[in-house]
Amino acid sequence: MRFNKKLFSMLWAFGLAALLVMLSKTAIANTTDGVVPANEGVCDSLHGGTPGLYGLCVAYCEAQDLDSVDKEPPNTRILDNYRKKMQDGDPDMPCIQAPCPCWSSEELASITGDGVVAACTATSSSVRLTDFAPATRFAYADSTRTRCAYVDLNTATPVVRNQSISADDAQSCVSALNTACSNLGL
Amino acid sequence: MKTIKQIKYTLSVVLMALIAGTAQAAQVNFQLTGYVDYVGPANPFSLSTGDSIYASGTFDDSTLLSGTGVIDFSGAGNDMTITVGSMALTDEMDIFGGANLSLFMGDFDSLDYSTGDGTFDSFLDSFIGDGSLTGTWVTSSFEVTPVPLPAAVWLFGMGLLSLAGFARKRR
Repeated sequence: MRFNKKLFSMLWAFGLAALLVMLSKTAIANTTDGVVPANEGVCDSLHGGTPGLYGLCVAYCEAQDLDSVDKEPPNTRILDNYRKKMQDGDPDMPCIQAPCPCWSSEELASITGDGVVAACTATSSSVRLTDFAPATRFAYADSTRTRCAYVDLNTATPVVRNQSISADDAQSCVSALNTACSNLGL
Repeated sequence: MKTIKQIKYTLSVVLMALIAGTAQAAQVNFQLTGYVDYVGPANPFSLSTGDSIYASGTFDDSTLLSGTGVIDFSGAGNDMTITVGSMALTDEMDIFGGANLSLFMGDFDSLDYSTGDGTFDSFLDSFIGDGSLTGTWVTSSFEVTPVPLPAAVWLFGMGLLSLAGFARKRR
């Protein structure tokens, strides 16, 4: 009888432990937006940069699973702190990039979509993502001179765009290019 | 005797100032050529694909370290004109009041220029204009030549030397 009681309590403890493990796994797998997996690498480009930005990015983007471009930011205090700490050349919060006025996301993807390795040329405030094959195709943005450009000479009617943009838009364009370059390992 | 010494001293100071001035004011002329990759139907510059555009002017290269650095054309004494077909764009027309020319070890690295209204932009080794023109600056086309000193400076120097010679002879 005593043996059975002991066995029962052991089984109960084991079952409880197993239940806890299962619950914790579920908690890890299910992100707040229900999409698995979340974009866990969205803040990686900030690692080792301006102190504090990486942590705030993780708090804002990853912990809240804000991996989508167009979602409404739920916590503006973190975002405000991030923007206060930003220094020249730092990207805006990576997970809330607004669309760049010079190109669509499809056009940006087309630069690297042909399988040919593209080139990224960056200065402290600007980035250009270029693909020379078969013909020139590039996207460029500059956060200091607040401008962007997009050229695609591969289409029947070549696309040539250049314009001055707002500082926020310029920051978004630079961030989008930095992310594209980072995703290419460039 | 004392007067001759004073004249010699004054001449030395003037000569040294002249030499120092010549060494510091290292004004150079430059020229850079770019080629047009594409011209759209609007073509406000009256150019064709394969045509050249030019950036040329003068800058003080004493701020460069081993030929490396950024020339700010908003600075005094630095002037640049970009000739794009029928259009001449000066550095004063840049939205920031002066273009930036980056050099690396004496070679062209990048040219930052923007009219701000989309008429013409230059960045890195690319240029783009009015949504209908794009092309590339040719790095190897970058040329720098010293600005020749005016003949008056040499005449003045020779005059001073002659005075020094006379003073020495009289002594």
